[in-house]
Amino acid sequence: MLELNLNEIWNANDIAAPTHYKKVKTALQGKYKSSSSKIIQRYRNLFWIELLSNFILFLTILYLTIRSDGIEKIFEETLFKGLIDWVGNSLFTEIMAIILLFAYGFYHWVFYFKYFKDFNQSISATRGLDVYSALNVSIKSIQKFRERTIRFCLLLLIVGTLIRGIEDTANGEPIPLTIFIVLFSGVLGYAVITGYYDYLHKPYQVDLEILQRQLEQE
Amino acid sequence: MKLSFEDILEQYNDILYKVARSYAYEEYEDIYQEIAIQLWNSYDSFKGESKLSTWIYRVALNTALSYKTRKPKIDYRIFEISLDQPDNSAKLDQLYKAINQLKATYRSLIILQLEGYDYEEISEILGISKTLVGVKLGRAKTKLKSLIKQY
Repeated sequence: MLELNLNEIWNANDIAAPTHYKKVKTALQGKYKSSSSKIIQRYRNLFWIELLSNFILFLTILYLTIRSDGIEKIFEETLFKGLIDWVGNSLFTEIMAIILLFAYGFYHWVFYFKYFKDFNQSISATRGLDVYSALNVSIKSIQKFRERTIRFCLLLLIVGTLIRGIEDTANGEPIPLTIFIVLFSGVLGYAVITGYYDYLHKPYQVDLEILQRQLEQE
Repeated sequence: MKLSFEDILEQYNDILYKVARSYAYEEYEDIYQEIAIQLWNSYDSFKGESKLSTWIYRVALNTALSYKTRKPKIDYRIFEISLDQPDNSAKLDQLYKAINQLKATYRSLIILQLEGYDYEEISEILGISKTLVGVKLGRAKTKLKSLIKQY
């Protein structure tokens, strides 16, 4: 009785593979040198989306911060008098918040580029590792990348909501209401930010974790 | 002497081809190209600590596993391979279709087994123990056989 010999069928690759290579050889040579990896390209797209959305968030919070009565006074009256009023109005917190925002924003964007470069390198370096280790490193890199960007957004959110809270209180809003608004917007912001990152990054990380589990489980 | 990248591609093109077709029956050209790009980008990091073919398999499988293709529809079709048919290329086509229906990790095991690698070499490429290779390979082969009908 004839029996299916998979090895014999597999050997048909000895003809199929070189035939395919002849067909794609010329086009391939130009491509592997000039094209960027689609896997890295996907991350790069995410990186730009995130950088842009972080920038918009940063500008929004900055706008909310400087749109305070104290700052408006600077423009309403003379610069010197306005400044005295501003400090006199105990808006020193806001100045510090603005400095903090700028400092952290600068730190974040400068290091974000470096971080993304390192991230690319760590993902590329996994290629020559055994499959299990490569999955492990990739999962950790993606996780780190995601956590770092979430941390940045949360910091902006905390600074933003606190500033509004301080200002509302200074404007005579009832304290319990201010606390409620700060907490509500904080929780809502947290849910939106983590949800956004989970939607963008998590599925890919989960796919890799599934593969890793498939490999290690008996 | 280190081979030029063009020589490597020519000599080991079959690895790229087999892995690409096993991981994406329809979009295999995309994965094939992606593996070539990844090989080109990582070739400088190859220090000769393992056999070149082992290293190429690692790069190819890592790329194929992390490359997001359209999820294949779950297909409960049985792939028929006629024993009388003299043309092995048609049979190979059916075999690739069947391999594509396997779990991603099973595909790696099947490819490496069909390539004649022993448990130790497979373990070195996948990073799992030899015992686990044996257990998983058994399951992968059973699953593959259930997908193929010979007549």
